[in-house]
Amino acid sequence: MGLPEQKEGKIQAPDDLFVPLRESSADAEMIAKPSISYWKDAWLRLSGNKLSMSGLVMLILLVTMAIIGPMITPYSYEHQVLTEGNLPPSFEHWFGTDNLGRDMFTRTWNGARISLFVGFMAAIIDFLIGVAYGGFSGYKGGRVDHFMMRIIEILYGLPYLLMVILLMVVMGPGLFTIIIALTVTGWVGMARIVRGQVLQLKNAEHVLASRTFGASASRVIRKNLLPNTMGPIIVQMTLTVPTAIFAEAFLSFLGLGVQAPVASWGVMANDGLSVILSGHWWRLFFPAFFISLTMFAFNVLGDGLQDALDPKLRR
Amino acid sequence: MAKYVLSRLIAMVITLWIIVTITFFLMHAVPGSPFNQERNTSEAVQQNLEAHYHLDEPVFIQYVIYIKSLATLDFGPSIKQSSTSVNEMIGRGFPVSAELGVISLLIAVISGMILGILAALKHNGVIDYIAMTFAVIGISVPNFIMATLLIQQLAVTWEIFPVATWASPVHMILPSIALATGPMAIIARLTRSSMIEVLNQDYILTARAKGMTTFQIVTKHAMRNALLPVITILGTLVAGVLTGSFVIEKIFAIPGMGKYFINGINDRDYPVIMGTTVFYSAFLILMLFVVDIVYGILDPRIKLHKRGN
Amino acid sequence: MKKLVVLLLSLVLLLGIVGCTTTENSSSNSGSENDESKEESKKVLKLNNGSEPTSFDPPIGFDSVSWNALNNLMEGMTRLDQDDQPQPAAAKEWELSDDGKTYTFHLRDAKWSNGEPVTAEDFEYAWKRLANPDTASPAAFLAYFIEGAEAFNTGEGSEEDMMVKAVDESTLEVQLESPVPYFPSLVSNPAFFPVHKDTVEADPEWHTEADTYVSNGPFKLTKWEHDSKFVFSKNENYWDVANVKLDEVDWAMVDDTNTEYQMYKTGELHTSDVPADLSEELFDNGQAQVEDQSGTYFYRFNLDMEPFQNENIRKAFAMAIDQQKIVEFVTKNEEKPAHGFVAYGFEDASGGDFREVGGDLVTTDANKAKELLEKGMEEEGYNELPNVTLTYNTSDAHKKIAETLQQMYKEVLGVNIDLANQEWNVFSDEQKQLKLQFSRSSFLADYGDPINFLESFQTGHSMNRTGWSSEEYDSLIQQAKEETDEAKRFELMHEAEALLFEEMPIFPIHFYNQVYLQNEDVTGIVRHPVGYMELKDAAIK
Repeated sequence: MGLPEQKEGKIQAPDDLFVPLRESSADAEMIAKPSISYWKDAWLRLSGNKLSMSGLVMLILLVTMAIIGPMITPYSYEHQVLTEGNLPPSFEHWFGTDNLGRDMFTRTWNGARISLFVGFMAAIIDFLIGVAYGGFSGYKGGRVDHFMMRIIEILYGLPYLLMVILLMVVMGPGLFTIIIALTVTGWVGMARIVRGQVLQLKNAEHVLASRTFGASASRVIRKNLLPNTMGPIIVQMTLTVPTAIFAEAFLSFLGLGVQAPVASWGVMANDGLSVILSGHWWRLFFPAFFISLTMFAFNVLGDGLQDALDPKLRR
Repeated sequence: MAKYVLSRLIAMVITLWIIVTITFFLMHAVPGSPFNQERNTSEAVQQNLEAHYHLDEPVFIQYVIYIKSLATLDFGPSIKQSSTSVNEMIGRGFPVSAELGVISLLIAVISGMILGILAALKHNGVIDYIAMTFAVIGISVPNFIMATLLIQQLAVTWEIFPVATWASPVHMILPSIALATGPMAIIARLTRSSMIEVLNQDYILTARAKGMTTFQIVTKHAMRNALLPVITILGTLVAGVLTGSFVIEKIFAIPGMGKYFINGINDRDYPVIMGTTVFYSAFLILMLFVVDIVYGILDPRIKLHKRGN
Repeated sequence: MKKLVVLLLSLVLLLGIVGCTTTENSSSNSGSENDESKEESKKVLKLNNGSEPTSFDPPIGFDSVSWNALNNLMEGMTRLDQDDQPQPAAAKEWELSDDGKTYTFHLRDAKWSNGEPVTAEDFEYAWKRLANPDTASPAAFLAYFIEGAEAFNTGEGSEEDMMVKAVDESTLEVQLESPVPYFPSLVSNPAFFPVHKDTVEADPEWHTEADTYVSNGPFKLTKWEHDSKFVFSKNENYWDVANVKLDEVDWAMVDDTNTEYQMYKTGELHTSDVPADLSEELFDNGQAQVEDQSGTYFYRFNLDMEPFQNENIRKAFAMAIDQQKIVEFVTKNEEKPAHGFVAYGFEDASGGDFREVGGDLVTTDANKAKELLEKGMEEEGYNELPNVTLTYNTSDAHKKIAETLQQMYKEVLGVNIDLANQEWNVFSDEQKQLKLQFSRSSFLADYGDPINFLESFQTGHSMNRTGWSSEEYDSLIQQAKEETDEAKRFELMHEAEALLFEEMPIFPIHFYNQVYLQNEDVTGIVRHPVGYMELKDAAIK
């Protein structure tokens, strides 16, 4: 392909009117974006959504409290006053005390550090691995897809508890071990969702068009497929957060997690279960409430993101 | 199509075999023994026990023995509950778990989809917010808390339902609800988000322009495409829920098979670990296969059994 | 769309069939239950067994989930009374030879639940079966007291050389390795229960279902829905059936303490454990009751790991702990704080309690602990104490105590220790292999004698797990085992225990107990410290 030569025609234009195109011919067919970028536009739309912004603010507040919360009381998260166990919330102890007389306010925010960190990390890692794996598998289809899906089946089928115990024995306890344990199988749900969406979308007109113009697989996945599957991806990500927070508690139970006397929200919620019977509600309520609040914030933010990232809703 | 199904079935056997092999060596690599009890026993006694269950043989020999018995679908005896075979355990535990699972799934799928669709139709409206708040609570309150709360309120305080056990249909209500909450919330969220996407597609707008009612649009056009993510997670959800929930079965003292997955591993009851893993994996792989088939039915553009580009 | 509908419908239908079939089963079950409850005169006790019993085969079911039931289905030579002393049961009397090594049991006329007589041969068969390596009984070591049993069990001897013999229909003669004055108490353990020889030989699976189960105790097994529940009814063939007051015992299998408690509250159970967070309240209002259990909650030092090779450092770590505070504010279960290893409840020849005579062998003393730590560090040339990690197996109860210990070390010794928890099986393995520096431990007695506690710390014993070894201690235990004079035997045991605490490879926290709630209408349940329950005299209004 190239510029057609002007040899025939009724109107003869002077040659100097025709300046050869500088850019390579490939650029001519590039599917160029308008001046305002996709992400910038998304941000504009997100910041206009009040509810979503309140979710963002909530998350920022939670993170801030996780950082400064444990410092604004005169108590340490681990200091026990055995004679002051199970005190209800009061002026001295805003969230009450636990069974060993430790200040629940301090403990809650100290635990927030672990829970929030684990929740964020799990969501991000699941997103990165899951989208790449699922996107590739679905886009390639055929044998590649077949093979990649069998690997996922194996990961699903293996007893998780067993893998995790072995991981604990090999790696010892710690936050890093937790993250590894959460990542081993955490991403497969995301991968399957993305793959399903990609399978559905890859034969859509705009995708076919893009492929006809010779866009690379990675480009088609990133620019044409992902923006149209953002909804389920975001939902899946927001689901990962509470799952990870409770999984961390389960992993702590096996000895993988952070060690006592540090306690994450999940561990506190587990420990506090029998307070439903005893009436020391504050020991369960505060950790459970903040888990829900985190979840809520992620969800409204996620909903806003979905609206913001959906190309069909672009103005 | 027939060729595709056949190739999937062959792949299924191979996948299962890989899972069995990895699990077998994994469980022998993990420290511990089925005979570790709080009570003490002597060395000689331990050796007799190991000999009794052929645990004193090299692991590879044990593996060969196991694969041989597995070929006849014999999972062997449980070490911990020596009066029971693993086949019996699954045989009496699975129907109970499946029953609870089916009820919960029906609740979860029906109410989850209705909530999700309503929320999507009234996107950013009051119903949307109410439905999603519901969903957020459902996801972030774990089922053990939900279960204990339900028992305390509805069974102990108000005495409407029995506390636990699996004796009559009335006994099934609380555990089904407790088990359904999480999946319901997830389904509602997923349905809503994919519904919102689908409802903005051109063909929906066309349908609307042609004067179709909202109900018609949803059932005839939108649902079909919006279902895909829900179907995707349903595959694993069905396998997971029907083979039993450890937590719910423990709290409600339900004689299902959920506890074997956890207790088998905690007790290092090797035949139970293998038996439950094989059963669950086979079930799961089958469900994932069904999901792929359903993909094709829902959206004819998806062709799995042709080679990719 | 049609395809989808068809698919969904067929799926629902398929699942519905599964659902319906199981519903039918369970509804027919509930129907029969209603019939039963119509007969109001029946005295039915509703108990919880926690989970499916390991086995109702006496030598195999060696744990609490089997014992409580087994002890009331079967009856050994003796049965423990309310004061935990052995009383004649299947045996109407017994004699002891002058050297203290040969017991001769005389059986009473008793019958199995199938009507056959209980014979000495049944006992011989059962006890040899216990020691038989092919049975693979986890309790086989209890038979080692009988001459030739250990050799038989380890494959070095033969069945014939195990010295238990039915002299005639109703006389059993047993020769012991050494004098065992507590043998009559020992044979009350379910491991020594008889089995009906003909039944067992005819059907090795006899103990797996209610239909085939043959018992000789106050109750018989009438129904066993595995993993769900089992039902006892009064054994009409029992020799003392006139004194059995209950008609039926329904055992649920509820694994969750909260649920168990909730069922107790609604009357679905007659007894319950106490959920962790409720003990204080339930003790305060007098609902919770307490019974001793023979066992000790303690911590092990690993003498192969620094800094615990040093005796003074070990003592410092032991003395820094305030056991009284732990039971009062942390466990809150009214356990007795432990200042020795052997639990309360063992009487010596002159009627004194072993623990009281032995006195406090380790006391809480902050100043002394600090002094000893300094001394120990000097001895080892430490400027700084090596890192100490306390390991416990995962459980809320263990965690609470570990956290408190951590704080006590910080406050008293100024030492920061780390905590680590492990899954039970991993923990147990690592503790046995001496991989843990400082770890939570427990001991539960198998039979009612202090020697059972103390023999644990002999060199190379599987319960030692500290790396501690003392020839003097080993010889004291050996002497105690061979001593025929009760007063002297106790003296030797006191000496051994004192030695143990002089070198302090372990230190105790509290003695175990059994805390429970019980419906006011229920009387006569006896809970023995060795861990099984007696329903023979139980009654319900």
